[in-house]
Amino acid sequence: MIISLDWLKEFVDIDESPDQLSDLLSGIGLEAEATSVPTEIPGVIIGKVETAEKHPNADKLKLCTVNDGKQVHQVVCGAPNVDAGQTIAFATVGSILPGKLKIKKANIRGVESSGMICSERELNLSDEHEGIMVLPDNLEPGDDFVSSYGYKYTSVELDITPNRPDAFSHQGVARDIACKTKRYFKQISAEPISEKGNESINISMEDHQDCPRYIGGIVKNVKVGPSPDWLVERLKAVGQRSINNIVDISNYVLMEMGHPTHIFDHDSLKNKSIYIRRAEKGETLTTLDDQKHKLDKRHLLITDGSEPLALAGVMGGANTAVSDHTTKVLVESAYFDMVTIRKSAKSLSMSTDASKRYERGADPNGCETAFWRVIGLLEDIANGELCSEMIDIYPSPIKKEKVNLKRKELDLVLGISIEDAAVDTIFKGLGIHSEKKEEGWECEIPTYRPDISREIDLIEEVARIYGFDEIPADESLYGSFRYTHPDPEKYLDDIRKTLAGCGFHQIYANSLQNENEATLTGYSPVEMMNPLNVEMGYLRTSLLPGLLKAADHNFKHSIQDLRLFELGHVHIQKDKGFENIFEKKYISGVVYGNYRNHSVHSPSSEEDLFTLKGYLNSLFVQKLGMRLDLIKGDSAAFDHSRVVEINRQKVGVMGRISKIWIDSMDLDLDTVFGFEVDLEPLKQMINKKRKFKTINPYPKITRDLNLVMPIEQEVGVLLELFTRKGKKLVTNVKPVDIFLDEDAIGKGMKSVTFSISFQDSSKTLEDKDVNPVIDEIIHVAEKNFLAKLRT
Amino acid sequence: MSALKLIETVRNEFLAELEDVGEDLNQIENFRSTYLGRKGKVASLFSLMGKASNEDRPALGNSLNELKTDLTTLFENKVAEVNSSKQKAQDDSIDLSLPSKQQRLGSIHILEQTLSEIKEIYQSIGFHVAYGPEVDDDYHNFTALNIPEHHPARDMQDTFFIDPETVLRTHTSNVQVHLMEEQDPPLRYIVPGRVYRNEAIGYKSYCLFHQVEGIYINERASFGELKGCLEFFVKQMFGPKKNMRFRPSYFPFTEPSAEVDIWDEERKQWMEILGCGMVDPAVLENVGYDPSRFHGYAFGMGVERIAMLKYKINDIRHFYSGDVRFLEQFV
Repeated sequence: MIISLDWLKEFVDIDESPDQLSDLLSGIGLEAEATSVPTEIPGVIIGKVETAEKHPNADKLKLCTVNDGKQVHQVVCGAPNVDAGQTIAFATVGSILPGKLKIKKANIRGVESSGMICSERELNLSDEHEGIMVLPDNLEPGDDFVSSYGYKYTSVELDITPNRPDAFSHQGVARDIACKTKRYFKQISAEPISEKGNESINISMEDHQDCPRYIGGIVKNVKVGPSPDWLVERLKAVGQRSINNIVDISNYVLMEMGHPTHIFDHDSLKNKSIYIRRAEKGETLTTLDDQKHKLDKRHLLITDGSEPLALAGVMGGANTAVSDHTTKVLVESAYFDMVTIRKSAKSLSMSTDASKRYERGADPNGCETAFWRVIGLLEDIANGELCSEMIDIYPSPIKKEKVNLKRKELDLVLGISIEDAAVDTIFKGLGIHSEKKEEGWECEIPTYRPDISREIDLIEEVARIYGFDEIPADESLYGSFRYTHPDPEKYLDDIRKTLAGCGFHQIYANSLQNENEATLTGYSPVEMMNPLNVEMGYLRTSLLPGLLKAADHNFKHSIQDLRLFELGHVHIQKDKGFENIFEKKYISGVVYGNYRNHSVHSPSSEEDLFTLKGYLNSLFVQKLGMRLDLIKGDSAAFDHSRVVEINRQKVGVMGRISKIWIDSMDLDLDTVFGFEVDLEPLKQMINKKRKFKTINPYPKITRDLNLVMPIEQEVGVLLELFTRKGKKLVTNVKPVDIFLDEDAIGKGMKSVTFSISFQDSSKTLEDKDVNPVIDEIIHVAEKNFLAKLRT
Repeated sequence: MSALKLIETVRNEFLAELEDVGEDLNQIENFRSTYLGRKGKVASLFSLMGKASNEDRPALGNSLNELKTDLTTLFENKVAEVNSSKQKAQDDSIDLSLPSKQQRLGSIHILEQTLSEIKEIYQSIGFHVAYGPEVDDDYHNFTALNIPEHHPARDMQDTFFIDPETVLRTHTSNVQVHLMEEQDPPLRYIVPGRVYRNEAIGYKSYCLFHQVEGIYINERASFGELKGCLEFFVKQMFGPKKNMRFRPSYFPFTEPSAEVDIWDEERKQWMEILGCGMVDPAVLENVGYDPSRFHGYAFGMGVERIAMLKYKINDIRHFYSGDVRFLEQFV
């Protein structure tokens, strides 16, 4: 909400600039920022328009003479509302307007113009730019504009937290300022006015929970018309347009003391009575903004006994609104239940100045002051006469709560001992009546502070006003330590670092996906009731779509080669209900383009299933010391798909991303390889302890072996068999060449050269040690795999 | 001429000529055979031994051996010198201005790096790390944290609902509730994780972000300690000279509540970096802790916000774009 500095000054002295005041307010929990209304505009002064004639060469322009108190200037003005006799804000030649616009002498359509007559927008006072700003006539030409008039618009904007309904007004903000700065606070007092007439109206309510208090009063002989300048200026300064004097009065009191009131056109009430009740399902009401609402039990209504008149605490009805013909009004000043108003407004997606205050908690005992304030203004500026008593239905008055504050608790929570006198002053400044007791204070909380009901609430008030900056930081460490695992996800660091070392960039993709992306895996995704848009209606069931979209984004930006990974959560809705939502942690990656680019050193080489296998090998085998197997198996995501087995447990899949996925996501990329692994089963395996193994000092010897075998024979099986049959001497077997030649080795056959390393832990190996092992290997290969030694 | 004189002459000739021997291999070989070869000048000097008197012979022998050793050493040095200068010449012919053989470095995401830094700072002052579910029930995300159903505080966090009682968590405080339900005080944890807000996407806000929340509960815990803890964090993260301020604010789960701002020298303004406060007694009560015995403090910060402030990143969407032109700036 916008708070006018000039208005605040009715309640407390303000010496601060808007910026200083913002700092002060932010420091006591009322987050504030100075508005863009200027505090000085050098060169802009008060002027009088002496003449305003048509421009000789332009239909839409006027040629004016402006008197600045000393001399008369010729000025061309384009505003339709400029007229002789007006007092205006005059920007003289050389003045600098907000936005750094410098006013210069100009020739406009053949006529010299020296200066400018300003609109409100040009002075940054409001967005108004339909015409020039017309000022009150009592201003002295030649005086500085801001210091003689513009100051009324200086303001700060507050962001009020939901716990502070009392700060939703000038009076409330002033109270906090006065308390902080120890200045005098002048509270609003509205004296009761004696009625001139004996009219009455019957007021009752269905449920006192919903409406604990309702005050009504009738005012006759009101004259609806424009508001006086001071009222228009006040409202304008807080960003509100003047409507008419009656509506403005209600808005003014709202901004002044924070209590909503409503003024009905008395003659439009069919029954001259007020009954507050819940709406029936199917009832309708058209509100002041011409919106027709379908209502039900959630909505609280002001009715005349049968017909709805207003949506209680939210907005008045169109039928009973004050119009130009209104002469008699019913003034409402009520207190409604917070939750009732919140539910009502929320269900209609409405948020009004009134509802904002009621749903945070208005002051039940502020009803009376607000009522008399409205009545007083109706008499003062709308010619009204109160013709009924103040009818106050308040069956169980809400009393001030008593809350105790213990000195011990105050010191303990804040970590500092604030002296008694300072605490007393703070309570007094906030309107809290406190009495010093042996253990601390007994406090009586004013009803405008519904947020204070517990000891901790009082501690907060003391700390807030005392100043958080005044509480010293305690740099000691207290407490005990626990000997559990300090970070259960520490193991992920190894995974991230290894992949980054392999050239992968980690991404963070959106977990929210559209239905197509979220269902590609075939799993049932978690669906949102209120998605932001259709593209983000579901939680992801795989990290691959996000990775593919990121890969495609980069590809479209001419990134030819890329490796990406993500480590994140997926969610699967196995069955209906919260308890059937499963969260899993996955590690997934994609690669495309070249593994190595063409250069002066070597030709290019592409990413493929084997580079992908290499990355998995680096991560799981080399880094994490696990066993990795790739087993044939189907997966929706991949062509050439393989199941990734770690330590003989199925944990994921890898392969070339399927055409179906690429087409359904409409990607430009064509060939992408990827993997996805569930980290849950890996967690236990990773935490295994490492142990040092003695370094073998004996030399290795290597033998090559050529075996011919059927083409379809997988080589991996042989590698494993050789190691197993190696009598603990074989430390490594690798295929170094595969050779196909029908003439030399036969149709359907391949020749594979194996390089086999031998090493013993107790001696240097010789031929006589190795030869029997080679013979055994050849024997097994011939027997089990139809292999033959190539000669 | 005496024998010793002859030895001196050969030595001097050798030294003079050694200077002039170039890098040519033939020339070097010729020089070697002239002096040190089987029929070279040094060998021929040994014939003087036969003519020497018995008493002169040992001294002459010593001189001759000395000459031979000296000249051999000098020659070998010369050869080594020549070889090394040749090697150098060869090295210079390699064009190392050509690009390297390719090595691609990947990167750990800047949010991950920032989170690691945050974790390290808090772990260094005794905080443990805990994690919890992104989808949770209304009770753990709101009600237990003193945000009743019909309270304006619910508007502070626009929420994605799965069903009327199930939400995508709007903060990681839900994990604090789980922790407190499972453990007795004292406890000291930070909880990092992904959280969701139903907010329009723009340069300042995204539908999800990452939070680190901290909680400390013990028999004594004060606002002063909270300040000490967070000042330590800010100075570790942003440097010991960073200006910061604590500003009163409102969160349903803490009281008193504060927001912490740090001063941005470039923009000349305070920038909000985290929210904190003393754990509200209602929260302690909700998890079965005795609020008259236990106190605590809690804080919460956005990892994105801290990274944006620290690295001057101007658009939150960069974090989730997967654009390698962004990612590789933080290798």
